[in-house]
Amino acid sequence: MTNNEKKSIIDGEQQFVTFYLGDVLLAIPIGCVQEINRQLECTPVPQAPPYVCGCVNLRGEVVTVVNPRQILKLEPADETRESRNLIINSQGEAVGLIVDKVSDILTLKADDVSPPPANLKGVEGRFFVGVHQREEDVVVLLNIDEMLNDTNEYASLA
Amino acid sequence: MMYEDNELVAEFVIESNEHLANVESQLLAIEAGGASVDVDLVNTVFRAIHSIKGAAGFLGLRNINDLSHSLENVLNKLRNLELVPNSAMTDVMLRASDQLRSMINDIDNSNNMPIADFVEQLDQIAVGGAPTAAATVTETVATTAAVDEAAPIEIAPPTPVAETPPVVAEPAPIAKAASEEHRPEVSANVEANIRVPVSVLDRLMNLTGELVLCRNQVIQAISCRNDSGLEAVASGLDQVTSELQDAVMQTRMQPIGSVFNRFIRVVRDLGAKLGKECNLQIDGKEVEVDKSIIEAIGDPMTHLIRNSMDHGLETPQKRVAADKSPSGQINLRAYHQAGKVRIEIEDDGQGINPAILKEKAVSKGVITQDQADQMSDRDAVRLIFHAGFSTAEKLTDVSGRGVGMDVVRSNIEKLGGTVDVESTIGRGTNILITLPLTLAIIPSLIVESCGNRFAIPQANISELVRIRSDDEHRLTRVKGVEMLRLRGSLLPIVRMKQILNLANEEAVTTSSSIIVVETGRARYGLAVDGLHDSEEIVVKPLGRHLRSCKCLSGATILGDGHIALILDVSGIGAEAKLDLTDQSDLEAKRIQEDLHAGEESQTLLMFTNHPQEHFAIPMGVVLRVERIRADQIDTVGGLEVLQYRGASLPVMRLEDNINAQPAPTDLKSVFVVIFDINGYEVGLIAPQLKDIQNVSMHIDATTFRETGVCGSFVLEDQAIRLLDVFKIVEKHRPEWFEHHKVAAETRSHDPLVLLAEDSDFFRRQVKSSLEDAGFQVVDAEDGQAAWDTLQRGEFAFDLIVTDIEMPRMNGFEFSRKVRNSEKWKDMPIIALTSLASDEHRREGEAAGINDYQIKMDRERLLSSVSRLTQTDVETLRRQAMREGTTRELSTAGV
Repeated sequence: MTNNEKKSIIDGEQQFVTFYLGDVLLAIPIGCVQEINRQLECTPVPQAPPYVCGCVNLRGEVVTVVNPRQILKLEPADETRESRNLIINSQGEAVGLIVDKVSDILTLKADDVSPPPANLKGVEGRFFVGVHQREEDVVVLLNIDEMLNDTNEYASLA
Repeated sequence: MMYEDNELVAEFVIESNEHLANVESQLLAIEAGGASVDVDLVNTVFRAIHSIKGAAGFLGLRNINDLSHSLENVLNKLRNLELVPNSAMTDVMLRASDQLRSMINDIDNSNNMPIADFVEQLDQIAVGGAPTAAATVTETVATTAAVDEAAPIEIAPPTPVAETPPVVAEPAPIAKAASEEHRPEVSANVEANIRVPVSVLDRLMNLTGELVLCRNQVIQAISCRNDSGLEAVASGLDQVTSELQDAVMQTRMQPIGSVFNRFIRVVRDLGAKLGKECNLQIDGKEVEVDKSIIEAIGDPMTHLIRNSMDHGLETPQKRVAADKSPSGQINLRAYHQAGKVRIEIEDDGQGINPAILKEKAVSKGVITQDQADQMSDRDAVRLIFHAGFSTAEKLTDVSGRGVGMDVVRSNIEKLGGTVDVESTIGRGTNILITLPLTLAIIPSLIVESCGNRFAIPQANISELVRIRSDDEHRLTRVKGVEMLRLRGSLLPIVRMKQILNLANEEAVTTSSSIIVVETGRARYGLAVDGLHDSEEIVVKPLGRHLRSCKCLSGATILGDGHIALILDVSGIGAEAKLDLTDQSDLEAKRIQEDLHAGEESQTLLMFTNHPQEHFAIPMGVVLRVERIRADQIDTVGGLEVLQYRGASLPVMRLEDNINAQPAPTDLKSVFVVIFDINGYEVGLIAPQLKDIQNVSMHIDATTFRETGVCGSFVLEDQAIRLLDVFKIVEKHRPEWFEHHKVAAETRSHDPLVLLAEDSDFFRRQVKSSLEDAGFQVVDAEDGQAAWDTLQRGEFAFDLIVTDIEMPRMNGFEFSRKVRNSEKWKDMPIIALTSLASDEHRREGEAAGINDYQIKMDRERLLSSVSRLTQTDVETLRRQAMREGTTRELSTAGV
């Protein structure tokens, strides 16, 4: 996906889905979000890596659900009424992402994005590809494929 | 590149591979035909090569074009009868078509591949006849007229082609080639086939899976409420789904011949290389199995065939010396059996020497000397499947590639199949492979542990054992591993909640179920909290983040929409670090301890008469089971008979014979369980069959005691009554049992039987039936006690009846002791088993057992006892007469 490459994060204009993990506002390209639902109850999978919550039945497909807080080394948090399961299409496979709250859809142009800081509000910046500064807050652009791949490597090491 | 249209190229590759797949067998058939060339067949090959040539030229694939052109030239001469096919020529053509295939499968590099040698040789054949100096070979080619792929192929001696050493095809390209071939004989007769992309098929398969789940949900929903309208819908849906499932499955089915055909070439080439002659007989090419299995079975089978050729068949000289025909025979057979596919690879070679295997196994540390001494020949032959075992005396490059039979076995087991071997020294070896028909939908048992549900494929389950809290003494620890005492051996136990970290607290031993699972080298008990139903599950893959979970092989969606993970039984075995070779039953048997008595595993046929009343019959006494329409039963002279196969079979109803509620009267069809009682066939109506299961049971002989019921046991919270069919029949037809009385009256004395049986229930059962028939019985609770009784010399026994599985001393050991003794070495011995297996029989024969009888089959046991005691008494009488004394006889008579 060209939008995730380091040199030009965005080609022309692009839409992003934004969501909160704690007070961090993250954004991922709308194209990789398959759906957003409230299926938060996972079937636990024994021996799964720690960042995996389990799997859910998404209309007949068994979908792995991961906890991005664990991957980004954020403090764990409880589910709330606003928690959602973001189904991401990653490398042809659906993966669920438990987020605290889904926010707006954001349309950004290349100019709107500046390079990411190494560290943001205590969150490791490894998977950040850029930030968008707004008056009231900061939106962090997340390289979701990278994030889910990296965990894949961890998994194979485990 | 010169070609742009990828789709066109892909089409070309698929089509050419189809052509080539047939070309190979056709060339071999042409070779076999020798001088009497089947012009039509040559034409077929010619056309195939010609179309490859044409398309390659169009696509600018120069090399493929050139090579097929040269090949075509030779074929042209052949069909004009200007050339006579011979083995050397066929060799060149085969290798050329191999080269064509590898170029076609690697289009991008095809123009860089070397073809000059092939072209040169082919051209030489085309102009001058023979390739180089090999013209001499022609004579050795037989002139069998029949041109048929399955016809035996005459193998020429090693080809003396000088500059081209015969290349035995490597396994890899062969495997690749065959996995790409689609259908044999396509070009020969235009079949109404359609090429479906596998992705589309997979999609269809998924949809069907959905539908299956959907049905499950509907069924579940209506079972909660009771809406009759919904019920009809559900039953319709059920039917449609099943049919659709079958139909879609059918699209994936392919004849196994596509794998088998490639072995013609393998055998031919290997025969030439090894200097062995071999006929390959292929049967059951038309048997269909799932495409995924077709693809996966090729490599293991190639290995097995190579093994048979390399190690099994002898050289012609050796064969002649051993009084066999110089040419060996390999029979390849496929057939359906009990919803599975069986494949047999049978050779008439030298067989496997169990003694040598044992010796090697001991020297390699696979088993101990003790184990080797106790091991039966049949088990010893199975050692070839152990890891780190190569049967070849010397490694050859044919089968000694570091790929052992253990790999073959594990590959077959990965497919959910099994492999077994039988061998007779000097006579040959037979390898038996059993495979499921499909991998997409598998019958599984749903189990529960700590509130989570898991599915275990039925293929892995060998039996279920229920452990009550008062049974705890059956669990023991050996070297830190928890073990279950099960019929004389110790079985390692893996607790699911521990291995999967479901709960941290030390296992609280409440009542739990143990599933005895078997896979490859692993056999262990998996302790779970509860058992649910058996379901046909649709396998769904797990996401990439869950690949590290070695204990899981996938997931499925249950009727209620929840996910159940599918357990990988061998993964769990590995995770639990069960040292599997070490914990074989042999090792466990050495740990002699008192075993829980009164438990036996029996294969039982379970059914309900009234839907709430469960009954069981030992499978051993069942002749067969038939499904009939209720209106096939007539009443003739106050007796119910079943009209079938032009004869009438008397049938009985359970409620007329024992205390049972009547069966529902509105059934359209029922099952009839048919028994053979002293030569008379009689049926028992079993309205609804539940299961055939191997169960370990505690039999309660008192609660439901009545004539015709020998006891009851509890399985899955259900009281099940075990029927005594003979008593039921005796009530109906006492005249069928008269002969016992007659026999008893005509005997000069009542023979004395020593009965060794550890289960109180069976001991009582067998003793009373023997006594009813007029025998005297002294019983002992195990082999050791029986041996002691025998040695005390208090009684002069005529015959021994012994159980096999007993604590302290089992039936085999007891029999060996008796046979080895001077005094009793001629004593007839009958062994009782729950269900006699061939293996048992063999071991029994070796231990000196005269006859095998099934525990619950009273009639056969009685006739066997009568037969053996009479013979024995007669022998004694004759002996006594010879010796001029009747002393021995009178003591025998007690």
